[in-house]
Amino acid sequence: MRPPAKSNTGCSNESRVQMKQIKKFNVIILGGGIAGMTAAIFAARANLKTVILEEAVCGGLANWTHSIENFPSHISINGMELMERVLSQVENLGVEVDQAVEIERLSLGNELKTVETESFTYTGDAVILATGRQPIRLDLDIDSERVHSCAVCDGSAYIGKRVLVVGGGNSAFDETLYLLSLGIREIVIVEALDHCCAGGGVQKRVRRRDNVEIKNSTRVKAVEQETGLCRVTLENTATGKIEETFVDGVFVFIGQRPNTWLFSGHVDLDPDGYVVTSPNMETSLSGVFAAGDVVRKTYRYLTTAMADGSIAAMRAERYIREAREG
Amino acid sequence: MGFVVQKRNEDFTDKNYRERLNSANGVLIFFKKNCPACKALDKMLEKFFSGHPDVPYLGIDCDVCPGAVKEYDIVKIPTLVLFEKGQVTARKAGLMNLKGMEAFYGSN
Repeated sequence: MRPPAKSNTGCSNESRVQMKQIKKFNVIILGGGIAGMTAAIFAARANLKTVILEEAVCGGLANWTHSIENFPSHISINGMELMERVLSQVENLGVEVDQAVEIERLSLGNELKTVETESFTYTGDAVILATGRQPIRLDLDIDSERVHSCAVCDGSAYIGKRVLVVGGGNSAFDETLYLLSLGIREIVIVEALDHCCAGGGVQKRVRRRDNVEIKNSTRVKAVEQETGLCRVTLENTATGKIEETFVDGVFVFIGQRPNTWLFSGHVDLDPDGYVVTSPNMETSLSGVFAAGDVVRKTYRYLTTAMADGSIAAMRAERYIREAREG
Repeated sequence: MGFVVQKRNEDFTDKNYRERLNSANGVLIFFKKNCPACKALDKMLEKFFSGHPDVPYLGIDCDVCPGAVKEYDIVKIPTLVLFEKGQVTARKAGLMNLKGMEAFYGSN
């Protein structure tokens, strides 16, 4: 997706804006993950007309989590199921939810904020940025059907086969265990650092499996697809030594980056691209708030994202009320 | 959104898929019910089919039809396959947005 044209001062292509139907809201929430949906619940319950604009489907990264075990009220629950329940609550409150939208233009600097999608122009008194993060992909020039980022989706294609897992964090080790549970014959884990960062418990469970090999100080230099196989070139980051290995598929879990290219140049971001906010989730722009994984912070969990969303919505309500009162 | 969504025909089994696809036209998605990317792609496809109400929309559940998955060498889901008179004219795996889908469909 191309970054939208910046129009911080509201001087976008007015003729194009006028051709689209205008939808008026009090609060526009960009992003339908748990932070955005929680903000929507609080905003709607504060009697604010609210819309969520979601690039893909509501639920965010939680949709990709097989089982969530740190969410109060559930010993264990599938991420997609939990998010569907939250979405149902959001819709029940009368929040408009537009999914699979592409945001083409933003104007956040004026009192009235506008967000233009391919179909509509949305106006709002306040905007909450809750676009979350997305998985980092391998920085390789390859478009192979055999390079994956979802073990739940694609793991079963490799039952009885050999796969490469890229990354040494919690996601990589958790997904390795899931792949092993499916019946993957052999897994090679490569981590660019000289150690794996995954928690001790999950590392112990993976390391005691005799069909898993872990290579630290190793990065993927190239992946080439051959008939039914991937030829992977690995480089030892300490010695520079190159080796090749053949696997049936490659699963990549090397972390996430914030989805903030939409706001770059609009609100203040930190050097890593996260939105800088006050403790009350206010950004550098008046009437623009942020919540969830997209915010610069230490802990990123469903529960902390929900707290952010709640605060952002309550602060947005206060901002709108004070503006009305003059 | 108020538009009429093309209903996906996913009445496929390993016993009938060959016969059903023999003269198929339209867009076929290989999906799984627990696949988040499939859910996201499906949401985009709702919008695509609202603009193409005459294009047949077919779906094969990979957990129901492992034989079809093997025959079509599906290793990544969702995978979209375009059919014309039973012949595969194009395929694309992974997520795409509405503009990408329009381009993919329009170029084949």
